[in-house]
Amino acid sequence: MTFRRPFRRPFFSLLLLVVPAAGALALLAAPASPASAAKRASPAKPSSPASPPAPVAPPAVAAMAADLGPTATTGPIAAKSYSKLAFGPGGILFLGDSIGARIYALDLDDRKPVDTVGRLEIRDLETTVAAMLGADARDVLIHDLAVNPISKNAYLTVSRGKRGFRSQWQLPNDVAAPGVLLRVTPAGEIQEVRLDNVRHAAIEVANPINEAAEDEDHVSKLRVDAISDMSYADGKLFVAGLSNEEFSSTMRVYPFPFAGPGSATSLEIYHGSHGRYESNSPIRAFLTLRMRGKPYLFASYLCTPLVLFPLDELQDKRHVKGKTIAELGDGDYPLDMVAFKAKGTQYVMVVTSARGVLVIKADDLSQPRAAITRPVRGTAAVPGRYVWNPGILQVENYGDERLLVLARNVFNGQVSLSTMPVYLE
Amino acid sequence: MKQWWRLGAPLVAAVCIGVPGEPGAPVLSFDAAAQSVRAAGLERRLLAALAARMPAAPGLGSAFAVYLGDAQVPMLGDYRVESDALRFTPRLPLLPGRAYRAALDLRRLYELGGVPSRRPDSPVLRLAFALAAPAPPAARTRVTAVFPSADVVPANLLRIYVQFSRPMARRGIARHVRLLDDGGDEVPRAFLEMPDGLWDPAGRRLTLFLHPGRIKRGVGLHEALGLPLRPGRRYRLVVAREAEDAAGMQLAEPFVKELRVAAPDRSAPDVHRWRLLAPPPGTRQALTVAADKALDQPVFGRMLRLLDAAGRPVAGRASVEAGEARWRFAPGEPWREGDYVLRVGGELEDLAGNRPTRLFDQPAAPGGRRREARDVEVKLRIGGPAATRPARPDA
Repeated sequence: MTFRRPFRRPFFSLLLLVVPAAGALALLAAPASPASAAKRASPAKPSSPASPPAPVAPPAVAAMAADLGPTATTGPIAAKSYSKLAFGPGGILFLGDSIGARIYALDLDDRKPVDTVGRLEIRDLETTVAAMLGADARDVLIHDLAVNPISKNAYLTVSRGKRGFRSQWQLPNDVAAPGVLLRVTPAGEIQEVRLDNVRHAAIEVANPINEAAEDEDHVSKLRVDAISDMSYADGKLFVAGLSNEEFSSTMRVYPFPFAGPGSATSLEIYHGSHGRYESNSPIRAFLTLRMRGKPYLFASYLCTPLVLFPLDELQDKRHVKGKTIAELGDGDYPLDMVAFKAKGTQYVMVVTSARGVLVIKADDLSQPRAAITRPVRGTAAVPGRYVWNPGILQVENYGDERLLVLARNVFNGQVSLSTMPVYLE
Repeated sequence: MKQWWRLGAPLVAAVCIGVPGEPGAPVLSFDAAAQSVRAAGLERRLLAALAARMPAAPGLGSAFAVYLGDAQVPMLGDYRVESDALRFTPRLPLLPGRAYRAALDLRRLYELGGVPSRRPDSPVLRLAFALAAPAPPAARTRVTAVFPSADVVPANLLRIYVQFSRPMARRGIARHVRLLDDGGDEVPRAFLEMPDGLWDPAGRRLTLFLHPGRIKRGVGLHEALGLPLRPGRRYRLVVAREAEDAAGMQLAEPFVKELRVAAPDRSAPDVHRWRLLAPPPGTRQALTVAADKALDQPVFGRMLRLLDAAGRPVAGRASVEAGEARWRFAPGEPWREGDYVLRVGGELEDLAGNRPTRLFDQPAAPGGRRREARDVEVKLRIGGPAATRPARPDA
């Protein structure tokens, strides 16, 4: 059997063509180690992006319990769907439950620092997961991926619901409610993470989209997007999704440790390729970024606008219009976003289903950009450049030197979980 | 292909290697009723050592593993130590029409238990089994009834029963059952949180407890959230199609029941207001007992006993009907003229959990004692007046 790395070097050489420039843009809550990005992976305290890698914490510190706040309790997690994952401070894993409209902060006691990780490659992951779930590989759905920035353990929410697809427009979380959480260690071991007795805190997502609401074609229930993406930064958990309001696209911000109900802001964007303002399509993937000293939400939507929202406008019960800076084109689904640093330069990667992997130099994003406010045919103002796409479904930071990529090979259909260097050695 | 891997119909083919002279030699078997695999005949000291390491039981999968088909990685599941056996129940239901194999490495099991094996050459036991082929869609499992069957329920309704046409997978059922308000939103914390549900032994009837903490007056949840059901409002109980039956198949269709909510019921069922319709002697016509209000369906069926004059139970078939407000009893033998006694168990409950001698959320008496539930007996004469309404003994 021949083995081909799904992500080949030419892609990274493309990155190196970009001349490193002074960072007018920095990731919000830039992590302690340079290339661990804000997305799903930020320690609580920001530090300079140029700071050297954080020293390995002594084991005594590592074993300290994370702060879950006054509502912390130990017991079973009664989630209805393990919809979305994101990492918070101190190895806390946020688990979003769209159907149950709750977010759990899980203390999985996963705080043993692993500073450097080597290559990881798990081929045909679906066959292994299928065996664990007692299913055929063709029935396995992998719903989300998150990497603990401290231990480098990767977490996957999975189900065996793929046979439930009735339409090509359905999303994994609409087809099946994931109910199994798996951990992949840097050594490649795959374990189940039992949630029947775990230290946790939880918060209700108030006023989520009605359980009966359906999309226009009646093929999917909108409730699965009560939580469409999550990201932690600067002591806050940002949660995109749909509410039950008239303008249902919402950004919720919860202080963490959880205290009080948090804020909910309804969002509106101009969608160039649809030629109209929209407020009912949820953010599909987003990052928090700092540009010229000001924090922003950098968000991607279906069909496929890229939009900036100033974070300071995300006030409770406000309605905020974002600035559409690019249209990546119709019929595209933003699968994931990640920020990383290579050779001193910050990048943002936007992975989409149709047009592939867009890599944007972060400095380019912070340049003054005109807002798109008129109908667009095809694409408009696409920043950065598309690079070779091995079929990426999910991407996460994996230490400073690598990304962890879940990808499906277009020819053999197999899903692999592999590390990718962020630069040429 | 190994020899033990040959499979027949849906049957269990255990390959057991016993050790002569030792009672209860280890054996692997598939328990179809529980959809789990048992390793029986294990030494008690080994089981005790394993039990002490539960529930985490790290590495047990390396000693006792069940595989789907030719998979090389074992299935996830729960291990449970029983009196003479170790039981593996898969995390997700087994699939119909599929072949499985199990392996028990005794030497490894002793290692994990930290117990020296008396038989250092302990063999690996193997078992192959298969499940019956999947049912055609027309024969898929469905919800056949929900109790209370009436559309109108009291606001302090305590239990809802969901009856399925076939045994269900049980595990994770809570994710598939929801109570929605008239706006289509889920009622938060409506049911007592039991992820795997509360089932009858056959796995066909699911009991949903509306959160007792929200019903009992004076309890924190009630004070904070109020009753899960609000008087005057409409609700929908939804069982999603994704709920899986014991064969791993989804339901034939999603199930929805509409509920309208009346005022809370804080009165005890009054057995002395029941109407007993006695059939003529010499016939096998059914005796009907019309209660003063709708009652908890399985409890109503269980708590009534008909005794003859000598206090012996009368054989026959009992059923609950008319919106759970009527008990019907068809005798096995024709009625004989004479006196009978209808004994109503003290644990009879109405829809709100009120008992004949005690309300569900009645405060404890001074001194912290609650009133005991007592049986109530009602006399009945066959061949007497057509309708019997028992007189209050203390009236």
